[in-house]
Amino acid sequence: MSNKQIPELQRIDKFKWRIPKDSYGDMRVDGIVYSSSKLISAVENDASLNQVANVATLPGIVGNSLAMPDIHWGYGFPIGGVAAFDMDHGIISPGGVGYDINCGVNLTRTKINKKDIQKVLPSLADILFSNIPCGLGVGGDIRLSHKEVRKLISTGAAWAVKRGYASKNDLEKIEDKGVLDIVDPSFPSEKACERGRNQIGTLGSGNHFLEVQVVDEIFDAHAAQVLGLEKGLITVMIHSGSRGFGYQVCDEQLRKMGQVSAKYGINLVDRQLACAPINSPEGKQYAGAMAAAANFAWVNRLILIHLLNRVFEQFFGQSQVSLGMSLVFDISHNIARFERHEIKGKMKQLCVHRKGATRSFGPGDELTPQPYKSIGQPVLIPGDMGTASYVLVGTSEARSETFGSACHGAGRLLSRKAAMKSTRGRNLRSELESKGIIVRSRGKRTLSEEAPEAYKEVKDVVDSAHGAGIVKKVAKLKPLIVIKG
Amino acid sequence: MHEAMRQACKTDSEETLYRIISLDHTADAGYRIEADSREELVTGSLRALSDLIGITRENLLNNKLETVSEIIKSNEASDIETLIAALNDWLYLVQVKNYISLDYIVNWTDNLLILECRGITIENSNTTTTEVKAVTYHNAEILPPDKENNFWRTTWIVDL
Repeated sequence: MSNKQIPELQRIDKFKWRIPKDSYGDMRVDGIVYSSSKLISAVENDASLNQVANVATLPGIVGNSLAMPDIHWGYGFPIGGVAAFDMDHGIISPGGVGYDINCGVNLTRTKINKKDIQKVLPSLADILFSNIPCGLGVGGDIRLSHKEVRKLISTGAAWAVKRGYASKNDLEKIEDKGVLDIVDPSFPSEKACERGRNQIGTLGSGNHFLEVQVVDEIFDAHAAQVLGLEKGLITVMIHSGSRGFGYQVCDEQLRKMGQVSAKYGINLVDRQLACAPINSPEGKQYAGAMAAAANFAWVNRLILIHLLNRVFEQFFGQSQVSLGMSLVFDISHNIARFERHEIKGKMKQLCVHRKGATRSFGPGDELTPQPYKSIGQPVLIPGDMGTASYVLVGTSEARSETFGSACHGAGRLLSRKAAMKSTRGRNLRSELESKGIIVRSRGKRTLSEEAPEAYKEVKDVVDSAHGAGIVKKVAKLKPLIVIKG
Repeated sequence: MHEAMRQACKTDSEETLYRIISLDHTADAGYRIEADSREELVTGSLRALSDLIGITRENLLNNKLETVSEIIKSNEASDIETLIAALNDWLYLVQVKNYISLDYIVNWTDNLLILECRGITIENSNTTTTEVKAVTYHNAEILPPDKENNFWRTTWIVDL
């Protein structure tokens, strides 16, 4: 099902590849893929590289069309794609953000030592599974009126603080302090509000998860200390997004933009890349609606942490404070943001799209959150459920190379169909339990589709990003309990 | 469509004839539907989505609820955009109204597609098994019959 013509790929160095702009279609700039030779071979023959090239055809693109080491075939932009656009001549595209707007990951640290809870892990898994709403059609306990949804999407994470779901200190550990300016609260439709209204505080299904982990290895002692990570201590990682609210926003905006791209003289090589000039009425409307969905996602993840904290308090009979539970960081994967970057010696405001990619700003950077100014922004990389996840930090090289961006996960290797086929007849749950990983999931199908072999080796992805200089390794986390929808 | 193919792809509704082919896609899932008419592409596409998210005839039969109709109207710039908009509106009904359906009356005249769904509204959507975020436009197309194929075809990818 991939496009027939494969773009030309030239090796630049050990972790960098170029798709020359004159080698494929109407590319305006080169495509640059950050990847090892092992990882690049996994995407050479599908449509991932075509998608990097397609993004390079969009008007006003600045620098290069970029792809991170976890690149895989998506729709519109590749997953792992990054592109920045000039504010005056460039575009904003819902296809450059995706349906799950501001899907992201957060990490909570604890002072709980793995050896002290080894025996109770199965019971902890059960209580987490009962109390964290997950799976298709499972709504949360929080029911919001339409008026309250409008307030939530206007104020983002601050709404969660006001309602007692998060603390003020948490805001410093969320990108943009958990709020984007939505300009006009009437932009997101009633349908979007309705679709998200009963899904606030829910994990969802598919690749979304809650994972109890142990810090297994430290690569950078100083950065780990600043992040509060110690070998043997328990952490919890949550992966979720804007749920139905974001899906509806993206769907509606893609329909609208498909009708207006031609009006602005934009020739689309893929209808999913439908877009409008950033400063056009349609562009502004999408930016506002996307911001609302991003705000929804931040609140969703904060409420999930709130639920997690309550479960731990109840289970261990201690307060959140005495358990040492504290948010390390919350990072966004699917989002477009207005950021200042240096272009040919001059600082310029750009619209940076990250689709399945994260920010990765280095020490001292104006966009690195205050608590981590000395080490760089934390970059959280979830791996597959049978291997490991990583904590990294951003670098100043990322700022100059990738508009301050890095990879977001292991990246899929097998299609869901192929993953189902490869796990047929196997008891995945038992296999993982034999490795000391307890899994609770609503659907057997989800488990098969998300099998460890469905993903690339997260170590390869992290080593490629580290080798390319766009992140620095800090710690490796091993899964103990996996909760999936 | 060849008679052999007709026999091979007969569905639970005798009048509905289409062929659903599942396509590989790394992150998500893709489908190609072949049918005798543009209208049957819609029915076949809805059946593919229903199978993917786990709606079965049993789900409907086990819920002794009164059948209700929902109408979806779609009128976009092209056939494929009209189809995708209708499929996404149907997903909205499933996810927001917990509405599940397997029987349809399709009327597609010029650009206007009117889809009447016959189904039930269940208490919660636990009946379904897979969350589909949306049907995407990436590589999506509708092709009319031509010299090589005497049937309609559509291809689309969903975001899971």
